[in-house]
Amino acid sequence: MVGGFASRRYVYKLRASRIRRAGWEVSLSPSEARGNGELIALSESQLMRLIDGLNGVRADPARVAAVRGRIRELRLLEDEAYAAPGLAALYSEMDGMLFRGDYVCVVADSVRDYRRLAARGFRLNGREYGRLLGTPSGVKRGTVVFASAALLPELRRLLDNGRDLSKRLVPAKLEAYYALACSASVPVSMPRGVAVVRDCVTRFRADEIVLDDTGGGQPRMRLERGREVELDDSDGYGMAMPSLMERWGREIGAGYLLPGCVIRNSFCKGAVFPVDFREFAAEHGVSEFKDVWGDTRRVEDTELVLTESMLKLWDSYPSMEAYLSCCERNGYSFAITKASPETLEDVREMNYQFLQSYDFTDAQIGGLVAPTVSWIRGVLSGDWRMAVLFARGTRMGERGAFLDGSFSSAVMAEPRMMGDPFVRGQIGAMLRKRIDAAKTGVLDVPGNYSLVSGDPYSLCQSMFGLEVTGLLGPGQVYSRYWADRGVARIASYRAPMTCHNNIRVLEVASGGELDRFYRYMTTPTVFNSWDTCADAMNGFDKDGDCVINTPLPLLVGSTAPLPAIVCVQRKAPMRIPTERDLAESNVMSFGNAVGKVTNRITSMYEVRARFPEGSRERRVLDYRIMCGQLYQQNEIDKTKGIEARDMPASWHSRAAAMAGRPRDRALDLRILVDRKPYFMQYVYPSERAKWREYVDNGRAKCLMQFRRPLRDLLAAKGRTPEEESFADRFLAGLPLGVAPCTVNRICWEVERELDGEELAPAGAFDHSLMASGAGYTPDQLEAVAAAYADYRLEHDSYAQRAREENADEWERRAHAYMTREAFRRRCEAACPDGDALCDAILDLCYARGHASKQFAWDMCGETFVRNLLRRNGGRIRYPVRDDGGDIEFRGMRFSVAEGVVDPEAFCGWPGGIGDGEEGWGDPFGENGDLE
Amino acid sequence: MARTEILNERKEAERILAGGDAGARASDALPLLARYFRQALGLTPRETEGRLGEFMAARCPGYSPVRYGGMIESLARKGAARPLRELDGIGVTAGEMASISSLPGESHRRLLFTMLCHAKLYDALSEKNGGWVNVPARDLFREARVPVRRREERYLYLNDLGAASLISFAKRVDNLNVRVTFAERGGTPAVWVGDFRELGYEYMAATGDRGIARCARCGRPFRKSGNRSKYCAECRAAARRDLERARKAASRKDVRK
Repeated sequence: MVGGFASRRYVYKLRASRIRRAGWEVSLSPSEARGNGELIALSESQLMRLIDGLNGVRADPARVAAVRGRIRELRLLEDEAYAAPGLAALYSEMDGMLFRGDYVCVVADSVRDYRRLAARGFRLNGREYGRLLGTPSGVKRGTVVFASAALLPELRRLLDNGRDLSKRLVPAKLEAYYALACSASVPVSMPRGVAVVRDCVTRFRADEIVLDDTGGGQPRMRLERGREVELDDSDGYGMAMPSLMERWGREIGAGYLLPGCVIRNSFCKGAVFPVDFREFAAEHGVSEFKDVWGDTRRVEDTELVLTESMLKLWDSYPSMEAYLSCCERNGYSFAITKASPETLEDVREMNYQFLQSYDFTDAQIGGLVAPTVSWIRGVLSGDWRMAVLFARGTRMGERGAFLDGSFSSAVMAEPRMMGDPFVRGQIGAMLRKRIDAAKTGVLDVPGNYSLVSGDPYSLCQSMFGLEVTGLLGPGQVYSRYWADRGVARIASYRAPMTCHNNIRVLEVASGGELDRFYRYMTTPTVFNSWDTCADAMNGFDKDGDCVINTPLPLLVGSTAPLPAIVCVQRKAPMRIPTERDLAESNVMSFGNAVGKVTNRITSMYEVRARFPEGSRERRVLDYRIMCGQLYQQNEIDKTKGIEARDMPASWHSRAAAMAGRPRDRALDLRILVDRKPYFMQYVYPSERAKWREYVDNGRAKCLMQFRRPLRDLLAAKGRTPEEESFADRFLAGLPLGVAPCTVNRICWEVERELDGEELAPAGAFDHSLMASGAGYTPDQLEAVAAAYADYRLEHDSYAQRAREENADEWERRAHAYMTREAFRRRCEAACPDGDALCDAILDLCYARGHASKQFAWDMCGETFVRNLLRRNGGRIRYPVRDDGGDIEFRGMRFSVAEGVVDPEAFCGWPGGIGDGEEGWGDPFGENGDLE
Repeated sequence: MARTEILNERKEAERILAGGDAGARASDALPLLARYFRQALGLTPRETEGRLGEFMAARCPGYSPVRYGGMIESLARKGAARPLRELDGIGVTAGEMASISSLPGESHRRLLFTMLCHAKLYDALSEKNGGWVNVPARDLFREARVPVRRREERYLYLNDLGAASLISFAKRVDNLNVRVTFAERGGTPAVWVGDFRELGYEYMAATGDRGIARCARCGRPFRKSGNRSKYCAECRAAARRDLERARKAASRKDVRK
């Protein structure tokens, strides 16, 4: 997906307990917050724009870029007396432009503190703050948005956007609708005519497995043949005229007619695909249609068609005009959160969820693993071209090389940088991470990730009152990518998935009317309106959901056609939500347990592998695995205030299984899932630590007790009764399951192939390649060394804190970004001349040998790259896709292209060689916002 | 000082609060101080938080109340849970010394003595302990001054002691705790151990090894490098610094005259 094009804002992020300890009154400046790790960067969103609007300020990316440009110029100056105060002033100006004090994220580390905060607010720097909303993904991590009390009533009014407040709703859903305003998005122009139409609903018969736990006891599972199925084919998507998608593509800087995009507006969320519905109407002699309110609309006056499932509270407005006028009055506009790429990738990675339900032979596992192992070995060989492709991705050369202050840019400027210990360390760490991922089933297959669409032909027929037939039949999809490559069948996967019934093998239809009608939808996957794919693939909708499609014969041929699973759902209680209801809905969503249920199902596959085909244990586990989908749904339902059941404790808790009915006890204990499978140690570091500790202690204990190595004892025949008992207890007590389930076998295969492999040795490295040759004073070196000492302290203490708080990848990257920013400013204040700073840091981190080279690259990465460019006359070399090229990487061929850049114009900031602020060490990726 | 080496936690807390060394990081002392404030001084959790914050502000450069706030709060809350250890030492009986002497190797004897001391310490703290030693093997060997080249050697030593039936092992395959089987409850002490920092040397001193002396400054036993050795390694450096300071102060005084 193309995303992450929104710019950033800095906001406070405070822990609820910290606010309590401060007596509900905190005093904190942005610079203090930066030092405390209490300042985070968020992407621009509708909510940020509303706050800016209320404050009468306007985000001006050009002004931010101009300030950054001036900072860059000052850093090149050698007159430090002039540069230092200027830099400080510019950084302060930038903080002023990017910092938003009215928006505060509060981490609810204690429910009690959170309830107090939600009810009575808190004071920050003398101003009152109150709860505004919680986004679904933010609340899952315990983060809720608070806003300045001065703006709160107006913000709430704006978020309500003139809706009918007397409508009864599910509070958690309303909260999620409000949170749509927090999605990182880029505003786009108003379409020339918008309509909301009824969803396209189709009815057909199909076999389905129905799971029902609304009665007592364990879920009832029954196969219903020829069941009447009702499918909302347009659930979450709409259509835009190609002219609009072209215009929006230009406006977000994509520069092509968007083959699909995900949009937001007030209470509006969903995907939009380019379809020439005016042409369809003309061909069918239609010029008018009825919208969801029953009003008649002219086709010619409509450029964007939304469906009722996209405009969540459409029935809270009397008409389209009323809704749009509320949006206009309250400062809302259509905005794009992500867009489908112009072309799809050729290779995609699987994961353990997709692979765990297959039963592969050893040869098949070897074949599945081989492509990934092969390119990893290529990078391990120390070839700089492979290293650059690995670090930057295979599409790096499509728009020319993007240079920044990273080690991969340095390698492109000077391949000898492959000898730099820091570069080698980075590549080594990335490889270790990638190898560990491969052990968990993250394996390359030919395939791609694409946006899901329903059949827009059906939607056109439905909106124009024609009989709905669609262009695709049951079991068919339209995918231009696969059709162009002559692929007839693909296996399609969607995360999260739990069982084999969630995988679908689909026939790729193409030609004639299909190619003509879907001609603008070049990269999405169009699903038909007549089968149970949506139910089967864990209930996907089309509001931005994506699938992974692969034609790999092994996967297509091994996928069994199984009926879809549907779970009988309970209805969430509706009411007119109060502020208290909304705050409580946040509490219900804190630390949602879907992941726990999913992990238990994965463990069931490992336990299943202990028993022979056709055994009772396998049959019961198959049933439990299918029930996993129901319990995942139940966990989601709980966040909506629905009373739903947990997975029976006797399935995963030894104590509960022991306490169960005597006739079930033996079976429950045999198939208990109280530990994760072996491969999970590469997903959860804590599991790896547990595994290592157990094995190390077992080895030690074996020596202590029997004076022989554990390995010998386990392999020995004719053991004494004590040894026999020890071996049995050791194997029974392993903290991870080692049964030969598919993903464990994949893990062992990758371990066999790649464990112990190291990056090939390089020759001696001369760090003076990166030096500027400028002098620095001892005072400057001392100041930089002091900054370095604090940097180490900060890193060490954060590493411990992150471990204790189980910080996720996003939080770690965000912290690294903010720390880097803070220390860069400090170093630049101590040594405003970038060249002098570079040499001081090189001496500190390279010549002396002890200091962290990460610090050097964090502070001076772009100066290093500039110096390398200066030395070789601005020449860079980088791999580009070339079918006749001599480099083979991830199943594609590349050759080396050359370019020349101006070293002096390069600084890593916008205006350099890169294409904007996103490139410079931005840790946030495409999901940098809370939504 | 490692937690396993502290016999009298009240005295240790008072020493730290009086400005004594708090270890590599000031925050390492916080759990002990929290228990001291709650139990010995009877402070409330809120008051304890305040005192811990003051301690950190004074002893930890760059201390941030925001970062340590959660930790301090939690320690202050839990500070009343585990009673402060207040022992002056443990006594080893003649019978126990005889059991240790039955071993052929000096290293084995030092190690067993160290384990016995820990077992008796835990027995003194809990009646239910029954001779169990919950100290990691690495620490035991360090305190016993028994160096090993490879980690595995430690477990072979323990196997030797097990074979002599002087220790027994836990049932769980991944539990490395050992139980000293010959520890006596009560009995007349033949050797008094009031310092757990160098248990190996304590044993050597107790058995009349003339190569071991007590530090004139801190009382810790150490291996003499010559007949004039007075201090352990740490105190030797500190004493040298003190002498140097005194010498410079005296020379400054001379200059001023």
